[in-house]
This record gives sequence, structure tokens and C-alpha cells, in this order.
Amino acid sequence: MDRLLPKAALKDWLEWASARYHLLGPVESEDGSRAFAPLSQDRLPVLDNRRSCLPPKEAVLPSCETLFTFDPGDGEPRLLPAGGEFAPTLMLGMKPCDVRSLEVLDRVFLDGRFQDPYYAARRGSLVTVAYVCESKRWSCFCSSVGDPVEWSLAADVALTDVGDGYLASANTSAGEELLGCPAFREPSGDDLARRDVVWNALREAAEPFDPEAVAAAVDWEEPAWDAVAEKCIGCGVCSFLCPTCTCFDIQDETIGGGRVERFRVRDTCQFCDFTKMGHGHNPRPSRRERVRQRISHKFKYIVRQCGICGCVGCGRCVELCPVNADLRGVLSEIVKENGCESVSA
Amino acid sequence: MNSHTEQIRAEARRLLESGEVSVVIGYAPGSTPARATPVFVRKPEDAERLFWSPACAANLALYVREQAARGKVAVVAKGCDARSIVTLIQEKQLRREDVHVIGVACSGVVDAGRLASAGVDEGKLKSLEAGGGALVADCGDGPAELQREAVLKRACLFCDTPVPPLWDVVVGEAAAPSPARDGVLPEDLDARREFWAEQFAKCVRCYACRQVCPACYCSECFTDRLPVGWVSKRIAGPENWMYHTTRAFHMAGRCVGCGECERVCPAGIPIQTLMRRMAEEVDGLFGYRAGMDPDAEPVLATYRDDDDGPAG
Repeated sequence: MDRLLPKAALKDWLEWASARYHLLGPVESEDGSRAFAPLSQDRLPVLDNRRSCLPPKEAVLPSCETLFTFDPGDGEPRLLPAGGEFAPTLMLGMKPCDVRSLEVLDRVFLDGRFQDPYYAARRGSLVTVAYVCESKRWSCFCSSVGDPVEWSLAADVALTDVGDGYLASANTSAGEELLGCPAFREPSGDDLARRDVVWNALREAAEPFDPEAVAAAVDWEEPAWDAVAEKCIGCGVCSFLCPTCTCFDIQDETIGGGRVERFRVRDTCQFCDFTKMGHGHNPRPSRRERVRQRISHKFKYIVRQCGICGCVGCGRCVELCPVNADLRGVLSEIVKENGCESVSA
Repeated sequence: MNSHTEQIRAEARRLLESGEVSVVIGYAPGSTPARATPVFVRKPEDAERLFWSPACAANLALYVREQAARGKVAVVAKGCDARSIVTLIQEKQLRREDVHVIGVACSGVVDAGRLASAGVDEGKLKSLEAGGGALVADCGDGPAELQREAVLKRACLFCDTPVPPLWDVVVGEAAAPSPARDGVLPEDLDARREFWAEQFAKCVRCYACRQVCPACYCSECFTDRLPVGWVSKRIAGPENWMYHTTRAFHMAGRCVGCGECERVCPAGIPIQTLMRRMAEEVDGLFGYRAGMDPDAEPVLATYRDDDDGPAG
């Protein structure tokens, strides 16, 4: 179902939606950075191709989360669940890479024998509205790892800027309900044509690569591991800010009155003690092993285990790496090293 | 190619051909003209990979300690980078004879993360050069001068050591420094506490600030001492505060103000504002600035009988 939302009516739609959902969207902070934050009439979303610093995975996998509390009671110890009802939430302005990242996270936390109940509760109450980027940033490579338009259509609604308004495509029943707001009207043939122009431009890849080919090329022994490890400083930025990274640590802490809280926090395989074992051994003792782990996990192990490329080409690691160890260049080297002409299939 | 690049390459070639050093640590062009990436050159013919431009933001002293353990190294160093090397020598982490400093007189380097807010589309950038104290960028419409205050690494605006205090060769000449004053901190202490509470709430505890700092070389950081629990792993305001203030105290008298911590912080925390404040305190109490004299003793690790500080 396609509808057009005139730009001037965006806040009317948000007002209408706010009666049904808690609204989150990209806002610009004082220092010029972009973050997903609660929206209001005074705080409208900024819709463009700039990405948020923290990826939207914060909404479904917070960086710090209580799992449960232990209360010794008076001889009657109890475990208290973290609690918290998750109000229906609408996350607006997710870029195609952001939307796709939820698909990767879903495979990790919802598929298989064990469902993560904390993730499931937040994910279950989330409705997504994608914003299809009108252009890519220099660091973006979404169209090299997949089809960003197809990714957008996995959101409940996908918005495309067609000039005077946003062409909204509903892809689920929740999405269709959202387009029931009176602010929407029928799109014209021109609106649809302009949307197709944006979509085709987004699909164009500078360097197409087949995730399967990269997965096959990545090897246990690669000159790339030493080359990257030499300049990598082992900071957590690439993985902390990665929309599909999921690693966490669990800690128990006393919180007074004999009570203990178990919580989980964001962790990264790039920290030196990430794989330190209880007996002192660390199977990833140097940066070389940790660099290998990150790239292999993202481009090989997840492909094999979950049937999906772990990377969504958002470009955060490329832009934020303190030493500009550009991942795209590293993958290029690995594929060439293994005898393929280029990173394309 | 600018003359800085020529001179750095020539020096690297000479050092590697003679076998005087086993590796030259320098900069290679990065993904855009606003970025540079560290490069480790071991063969004279690879000296061509080295270059110099205002994009050379990283502090390469970070790599010197580990690389020098394997043999003499050469490193391209700006004023702040050379001060880091001095600190390492003072703290016995490095011997003077194990490092050959290719000093570069610098008028400031670009923080690529600030370009977007300054209205520069990094994706369209064709070239970025410094000449006569001006920063000139071409985004396809011809060269245009950039406003230094808007695109330089913020720490560069406060720099007072454009020429390295330690060098074996030095390239270029820098203009006389005119450091700004940091007006970010509120005067009122309660307002100041609120300011930092707001900043530390943004911290995601990625530890990039610590990893990028040449002075943070402890094999086990206090944050990793979980059984002792100096600071919890919890990512929340109070714990973030604990991490940052403890680190600031560990850096007092040692931070050289290179500003890398601030540049790499994904959350935009003005870490240098805190570090500069600590440096002011140390200078006021002991008349000491970090990383200026390799023969000076580390100020907070030295006891003097004649030290009559304000406590009496």
C-alpha cells in the first residue's frame, strides 16, 4: 500500500501516532551529533542520510540492562525479574542498514532453540519506519552487501523523500494501520516515479561483493591479520558502534541490603580480556587473533551459522576507526589474496 | 607532492638503507584526503608510501614502545607526539637511543569527524593542504580556505608546542603558537559538576580514549581489575564518572594534550577540557609541563625535600 505524506504534515502524523506509540527518531543534538531519542512536537526527527552515532540496536539490546535481582528477604530469598512492560514503540527514520541490522539481531536472539526473553520483549513491541537514504555517504557500502531497498521493505513502513512529501510504502498490517492517518493522501504517478529514481540510485554499488565469496575467501591465516593488527589500537569503537554486534558481559553486583543485581553490559571481542579464561589462559592473546575474530565472525561465521551476512555496510566502523583501518580495503585485500579478481561475485 | 613529504621520504630511505632503524613509523594517505593511516615501513623502496598533510592526526608515539622493544625505530612526530615520546623516556618505557624522531613542525591537524558540521562534504573532498598558515580544501569547486577553529582537532587550538621539543631531524617551520583559552567549563562548581555529569552520561565505555593514548600503556588497566572492583563494568553515569576522573588523575602531569582521546571519542565528550584542567593544576602547583624535557623527573612520581607545596 502506497500513500503520500506532505512534508508539512509530518508533525500531524507524529501527533496522531503518539496516541498509539512511544515515538523514537533521529534528532540532532547541540554538538551536531545524531541520536535516536524520544520525539515530540518540539523535537521532530531529522530525516537525511546521516547516521546516528549509536545504532538503533540500543532500543532492543540496551548497552546496560538488569536481568534480575536477588533479594535475601528474611530467610526467604527471592529472585525478582527485571520487570518493565515495554510500551508499543515506533522507531522512525531508520536507515535501510539500521532496519537490516534488526534482521541480523533477530537471527541471533530469536531463532534457534533459545529465545532471549529480554530482547524478545523489546523487539515484540517495536514498529519500524524506514527512511530510504537519498544518497550514500563516502563510507557507506550497504549496496555492496545486499539490496538496501529490499531491506527497507522489511520495515513496517518505508519512507522515501520525493520532493514535496514522503512516499510511504506499508509492508505489514501494522504499517497499513499507520498509513490510516488522515494526513496521508493518494500518491501521483510522478511521486511513484521519483521514488523509483531514489531507489535505483541507492541500489547502485561502487564495489559489489558477494557475501558468499567473501565468506569463502576469509581464511585462518591471512597476511591481512598482521597488517591490520599492527595499526589497530584495540579500542572498542568498531564493535560498540556496530549495529549488528551483540557481545555482552554479565556481572553480579551487590546493591545494598544484601541484595544482588545481575546485569548485562555491552562488551567487545576487541578488549584484551574478552576471552580470558578462569584459569588464566587467553586463546586470543594478541591483537592479531582479535582482528581475525572480528572480521571472520562478521563475514564468515555468521554467514555459515545464521545464513545472513553479519555486516550491513553502514560505514560506522569505516568513519569512526581512529586509525582509518578501512574494512572495505581489508576485505578487498583478502579476496585478492585468495585469488579472486575483485570483491565482486 | 609537498616538501614535507619529500623530506620525510628521503630521511626514511636513508635510515632504512643504512640499517640504522628497523622500521619507520609514519603516515600513509587514508580513505579520503582528510584522513591518514599509520604505516610501518621496513624497506627503503616502501618509503614512497609515507606522506605528510594536515590529515596526519594520529599520535604515532602510541606504537613506539612496543616496536622499539624489537630494535631501533624511527617515527614521524608532531610537537605533541614528540612530547609523548619524551614522557615515555622519562618513565623509562623507552631509551632515547632506541628512537629516531623525524620531527614535523605543525600548525594543526584536521579532525575528520568535524568536517560535516563545518559544511564540508568529506565524500566530495579532492584535496586538503596547508600553506602559509591556511587550510585549503577542494571539494570539486576549486580551492577554498577552511576555518581552522571549525575543522582542526580541538586540542590543536590550545597548542603551544608546534615544534617538537625532541627531534633528530625536523621538517618545516611552524608559526608562533597562539593557544586559545578553553571557555567550555562553567566557573561555578555546581554548574561544573552538572556539566561533567551530562558529558559522562554520554560515555559508552568503549575505552577508545584509553587505547589511543600513548601514556596509557599499563598491561592491566584499573578498569580490568574486576575482582578488586575499582570501577564497575556497569555503563551508567556514576560508573562512567569514576572511570573518567580516575583516568584524569592518572594522566595529571603526564598528558601532553595531543587531543587524540577527544578526536576518537564516538560520544563527543570534551575529554581534553578535563585533561587541560589537570595540567593547569599541576603547572600551578609544581611549575611542570608534561613531555618537555627527557631529563626531567616525572612530577608526581618524584619526592623532593624542598617541595613546600600549598599544604605546607
